[in-house]
Amino acid sequence: MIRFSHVSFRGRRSDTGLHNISLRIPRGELALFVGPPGAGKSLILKLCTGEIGPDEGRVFVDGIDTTQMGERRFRRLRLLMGIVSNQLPLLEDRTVLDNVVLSLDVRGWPPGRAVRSAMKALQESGILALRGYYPTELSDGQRRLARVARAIAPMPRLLFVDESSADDNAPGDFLLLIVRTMTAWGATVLIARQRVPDSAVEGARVWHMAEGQIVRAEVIPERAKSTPSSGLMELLLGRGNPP
Amino acid sequence: MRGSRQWLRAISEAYRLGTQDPGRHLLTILIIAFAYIGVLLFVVLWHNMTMQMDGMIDSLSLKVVVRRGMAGIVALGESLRRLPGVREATFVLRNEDLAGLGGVHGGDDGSVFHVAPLEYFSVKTHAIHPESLAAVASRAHSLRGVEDVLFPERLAAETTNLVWWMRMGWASIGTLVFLLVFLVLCLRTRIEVLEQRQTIQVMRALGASSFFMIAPGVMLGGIRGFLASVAACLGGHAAMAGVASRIGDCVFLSRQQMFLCMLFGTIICSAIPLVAWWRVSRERSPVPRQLRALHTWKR
Repeated sequence: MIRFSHVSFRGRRSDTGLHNISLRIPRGELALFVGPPGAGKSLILKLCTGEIGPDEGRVFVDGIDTTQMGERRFRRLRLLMGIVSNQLPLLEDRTVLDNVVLSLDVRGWPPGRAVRSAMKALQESGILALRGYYPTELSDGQRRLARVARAIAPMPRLLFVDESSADDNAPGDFLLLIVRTMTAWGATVLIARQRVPDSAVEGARVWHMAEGQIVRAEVIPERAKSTPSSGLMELLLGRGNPP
Repeated sequence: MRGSRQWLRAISEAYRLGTQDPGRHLLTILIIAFAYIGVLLFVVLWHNMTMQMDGMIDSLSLKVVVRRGMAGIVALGESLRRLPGVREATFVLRNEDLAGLGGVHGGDDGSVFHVAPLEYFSVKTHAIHPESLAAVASRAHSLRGVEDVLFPERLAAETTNLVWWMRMGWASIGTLVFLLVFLVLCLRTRIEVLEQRQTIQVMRALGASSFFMIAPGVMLGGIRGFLASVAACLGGHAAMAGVASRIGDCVFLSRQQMFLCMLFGTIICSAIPLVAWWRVSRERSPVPRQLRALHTWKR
C-alpha cells in the first residue's frame, strides 16, 4: 500500500530531514512511527499525503509513484486518505457536524447520506452531543476527537494520524477509535507519536526513528485471540483498565 | 446531476458565508462602493472638463479679413478650408463685429455707418497652441484677397496654458484616485487571502476540487461587487446632480454605461477570491510564508 524507496528530504533547517528511508507498509496494517521531536515522523506522513515532495527517492501510495504526480492527480489520491493533524484544524466558522460533513461534501456525497455518515462518525467518536457546537467551544480533547471523526467519516483506505505534538497522557480512547476504525474496514493506518502507546496496538508495526533515520523496527506481539476486541470494548465503555 | 448538486452546494455555501457576518460584508460593500464612486466621478468629471476645454479652444478662431469689394469670396473660402490645420471657415458679415476690429464703431444709435462693414471669415482650427494658430494665420495671410488676419494671441496663450495646467492637475488627481482604488482592492484581496488561507488549505488536504473551493467565494464576491457597483452608480448620480446644480450642464453616465459599470464592478470583485485562491494554492506548506520567513530570520 505504501512504499518508500531510498527517500531523502532535506528541510530548510539543518537538524531536520530524512536520510535514505526505505520501508513498506502492507494494506490493512497499523504502522507507528515513534521518536523524539525532529526525528522525521511527521515528514513521513507529509510525504505520503503529498504535502511535501522528496528530494531523492520515490514514494508509492496505493502502487502509484506520487513523486511523478501533479496536484490534480494528487487531489484524487487524497480522496482515499483521511488525515488527522494539528496542522489541519477544524474550520472555526462551522459547527462540528458541518466540519465532518465537509469531508464528505468534497467527495461529492449526496447531502442526506453525508449527514447520516457524519452523525455515525460523531457517534463512534463519542461526541455526537457536541455536533451543534463550534470548535472554539470545545476542549482540546474534544477537538481531537472531532478531527478524527472528520477523517474517518468518508471511510478512507488510508488514515494518517500526526500526533507528534500531542500529549502522551491524552485519553486512550483516541487511539482505540483509530484501531477500531482500521479493523472495521481494513484501512491502512499510519500514526506518528513520540512514544509507543501503552494500549491497544497489538499487531502494530513500530518504526523507531531518530535524526531522520529508522533506527529500529519491531512488531508488537498480539495477545491471546480468544476475545480479540473485548478489552477494547471494555475500555470504550469505560469499564476496563488499560493493559 | 452531480454538476447541479455542486452548483447548489456552491450557492448554499455562498449564502452561508454571506449571512455569517453581515456587518463585515456591508463594510466591504461600502468600501468598494466608495472607491468605485471615486473612479466614476473622476471619469465623468474628466469627460465634462474635456468638453469645457474643447469649447474654450473652439472659441479661439482666426478672423481672416477680406479685401473690400473683392470678388471670388467663395473661392477664397474654399482655399481657406483646404489649408492644413483648418477645421472650418465661415463667411461673416456683421455690424457688431466692427467694434472689435480696429476701433471702428457706429450704429448704436441707428445712424449710418461711417465705413462699410468688414467682411471676414471666421476660421476655426485644430490648433491647441498659439504657435500652431500663428502658423495657420501666416498661411491664411499669404492667400490672395486676404487683407489681414486677426487672432487673440495673448488670449490663446493664456487659454492653452490654463488648459495644460488643468489637464496636469486632473491627471495627478486621477493617478491618485486610481492608486487609492488599486490599494483598496489589494488590501481587500490580502484580507481575503488571510481569511481563506486556512479554509482553502484544509479543503485541499481533504481532496476538494478547485471548483469546490473557489465557487462560493467567487459568487459571494460577485454579489458584493454588484451591490457595490449599484451603490456607486446611484451615489455617483446623486453627487453629479449636486455638481450639475452648481455649474450648469453636466453629463453623467448613460443607462448603458451604468450597466457596463455594474458588470465591470461585479467581475472585478468576483476576481478577488480567485486571486486569493491562486495565491494560497501555490503554497505547498500549511505554514504561512510570513511565519516561515520569521522562523528563518530568528535562526
